[in-house]
Amino acid sequence: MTFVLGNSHDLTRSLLMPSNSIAAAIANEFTEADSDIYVSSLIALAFLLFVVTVIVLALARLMLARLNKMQGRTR
Amino acid sequence: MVVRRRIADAIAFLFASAATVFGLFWLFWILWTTLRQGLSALKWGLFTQMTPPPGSDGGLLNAFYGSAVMILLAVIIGAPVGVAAGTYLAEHGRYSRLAKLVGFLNDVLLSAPSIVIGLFIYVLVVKPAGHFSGFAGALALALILLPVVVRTSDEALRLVPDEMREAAFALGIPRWKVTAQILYKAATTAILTGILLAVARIAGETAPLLFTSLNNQFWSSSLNAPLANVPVVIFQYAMSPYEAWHVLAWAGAFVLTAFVLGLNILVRLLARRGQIR
Repeated sequence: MTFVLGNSHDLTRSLLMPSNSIAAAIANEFTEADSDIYVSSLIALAFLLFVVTVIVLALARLMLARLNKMQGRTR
Repeated sequence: MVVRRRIADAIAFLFASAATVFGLFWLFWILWTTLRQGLSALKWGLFTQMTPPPGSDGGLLNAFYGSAVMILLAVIIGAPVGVAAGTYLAEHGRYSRLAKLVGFLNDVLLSAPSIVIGLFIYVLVVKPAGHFSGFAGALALALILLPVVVRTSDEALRLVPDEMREAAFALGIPRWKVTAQILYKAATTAILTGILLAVARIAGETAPLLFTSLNNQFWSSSLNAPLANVPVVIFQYAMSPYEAWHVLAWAGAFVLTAFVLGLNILVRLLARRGQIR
């Protein structure tokens, strides 16, 4: 993905401009991170990504559980 | 009424077929592109020579070797734990709250971004050791493989009919023996299928290897040193300015894609054999 995304550090509104994603930022910059704060911020980015995953999954689980409850019930 | 159903059925069939063709179209396009671009490097030397310095000829032997070692080690580390955890989820903790929680956490791990896992192993193993190593790479791959194996072996054991368990218990066989000698036997093909699928999943992982095993231009079989591997070689060579390296990257990508495709076909064959039995 990092090949085609463009790795830009600006925030643009257009989907057609080079941009960046968390995963691509970590992959490209981690080996170049020279200061502790740089490394820490990249690891913090990874943490954020993980949190997003957990939230999305928890939501999915919640929806499934509600569907299960509805089963066998006539509305 | 019947006509309407027939029409609905035909439309649904059309859309389903179109979706299949759409998916296959991309797969074959990818295979075709990698084959065409990497064709000039697809010769015997690809498997017998080392990765070359810029400007000279070479192959990807060290990368193939490193990838094979790390995948094998990941399976050795991850598969037993995964099968054991799957057994717990399907057999011993089927109705317990803890198992539900474990199942959810396993789902989280299953979809955790692979780069996060790479960073985790970096902080845990690479940083204290002070250098990248093939062992760290294998650990990262094992962490990605683990939840896949847990999920698939859980499903595999759940597919074994309960009547089989009841029959075994009725004969007075202790629980551990039922699991080890009857259920595993019935679910072997499905569990193996899951492990193979997990291998297909980790074979192409680049992100977690970037921070753990890195890459090695030379032949090295030490697990305590940076180990060459196919995905990172592709990553680095594709971004390089050298034409010969690009071709090698394409060839590596083709072999990798073909390998994963072959593995999936093997899984299908195994699954079919399991059904007939």
